[in-house]
Amino acid sequence: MFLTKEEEAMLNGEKGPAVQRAMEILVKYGKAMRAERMIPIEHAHVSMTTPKEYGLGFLEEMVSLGAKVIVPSTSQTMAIDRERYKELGFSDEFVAEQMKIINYFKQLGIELTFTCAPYIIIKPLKFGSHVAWCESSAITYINSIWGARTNRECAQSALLAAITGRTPEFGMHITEERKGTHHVKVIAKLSDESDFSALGYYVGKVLGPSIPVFEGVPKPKFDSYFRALSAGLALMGGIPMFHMIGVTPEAKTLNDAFQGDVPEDKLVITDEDLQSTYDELNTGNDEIQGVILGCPHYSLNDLECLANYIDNQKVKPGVKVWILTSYHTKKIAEKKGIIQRIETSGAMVISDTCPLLFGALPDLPKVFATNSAKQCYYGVPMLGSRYRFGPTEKVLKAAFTGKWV
Amino acid sequence: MGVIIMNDKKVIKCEGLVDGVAEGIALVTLDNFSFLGGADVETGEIVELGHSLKGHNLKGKILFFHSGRGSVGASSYLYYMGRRGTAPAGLGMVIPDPPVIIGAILAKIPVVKLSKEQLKQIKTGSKVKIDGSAGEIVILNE
Repeated sequence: MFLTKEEEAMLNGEKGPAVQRAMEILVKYGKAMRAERMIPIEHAHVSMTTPKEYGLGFLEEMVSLGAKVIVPSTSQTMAIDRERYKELGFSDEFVAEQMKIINYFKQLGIELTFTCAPYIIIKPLKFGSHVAWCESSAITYINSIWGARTNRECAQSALLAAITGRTPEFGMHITEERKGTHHVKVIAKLSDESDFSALGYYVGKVLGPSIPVFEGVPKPKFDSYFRALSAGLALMGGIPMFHMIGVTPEAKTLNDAFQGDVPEDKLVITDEDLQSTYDELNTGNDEIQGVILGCPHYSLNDLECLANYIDNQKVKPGVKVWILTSYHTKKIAEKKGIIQRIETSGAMVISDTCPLLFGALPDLPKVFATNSAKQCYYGVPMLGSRYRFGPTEKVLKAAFTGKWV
Repeated sequence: MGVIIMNDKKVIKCEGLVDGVAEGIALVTLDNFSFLGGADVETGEIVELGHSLKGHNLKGKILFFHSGRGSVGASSYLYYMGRRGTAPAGLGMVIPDPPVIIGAILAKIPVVKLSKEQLKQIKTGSKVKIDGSAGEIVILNE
């Protein structure tokens, strides 16, 4: 593997023990993945943010070596809301564990964003930018929508990239590897965030690791639809990227998306296919005790739409309604009065975290309503809860009535 | 690339991915395997429902599998198994994926890349040695 003089210096320990250890691992990683060289990255998104995370020992090792990030870096969702952990019911012991990790991130110089959708709050990356991100849904989003380039990095490789400013050049960093692999024609009607979530789930499950090229999908009305699609594809297929003809930047035409190599076969997605996904993920009864919106994290615009929709309606007493967003977005929404407008209904806007990490909480709802396939899929094994999966309006109706109708 | 016989031992020439040498009993599957949720990290036992190797224990074994596709969280699980002493001693995979590679590097587990056909030549229960630098699998006894 070719290394520049500066990278050699990193490997030889001239930039300190943390950089040396990081470069040693990255070189082995690059060798195994058949990378010919390292490339500089502009940004990293780093995980290992939650207590009981199995990789924590590695984070501690890097912090003790004095590691610092040298490119702008954001952090993945953690296990608590930094302001409302008491209200949510986390124990002091658990919060102390979480605070320790927050401190590690501070020491590393990573921005305390704690979000699964960092692309909402950072300055958009330029087309073709090389980055190193973990969080599967965010990876799919920025590769596809921005034309930024990242492999599906794990928590450790993203941190090592942040510390050295380098990642091995293979996979999604290489133009030829970004060409579409499967032609997916969508004739199903897509009218809500949940439909995009279901589409991603279904296509991910059918295709597995691949780069689908969607035809027949009009440019979604809201950015949240792209987020939902990305999350579904990554969840079930480990899909790092998709193309959408006439919509995403590397797919002006079908030929473009396939780099001239258009396959003969097509996967056709019908209303019945989406319905089968809804059926598969509907595991609960009609008595709704919890509602989740904002998976992936909601943007300012999503929160504003929600506030407008709720108007003066009230959440049915006893139903826990959780709206997920980042701390950054929440603070802006607070200044605009949006959070207050949402919360007078009885709903709760939660930042920094994800209900899937609420396993330690007492009294979790037995049945949740949500528009996110990812919550439905992981929530059953991770929380032991059951789910109703459907369009946003229906989910909100469940918040107001406590019933899935 | 097939199997050659050297000194009465079967030798499979493949590709080295992560350096190191390991010896142990082979566990072989054509399936994918995820270290996240696939195994009990405290004991090494394979617990994934419906997996062809369910019930086997990974500790000290040489695991031959198709790929580790799935959640990127797998690296942390493999790293932790390395610390707990429940990790496999070596890995052979058909399609290498980053989380397994990173986990293996951190847990100091050698990894080789082999073809599907080569994988089919190895039997669960055989004693094998893998060399992640030379890219070689030696079947010590079947």
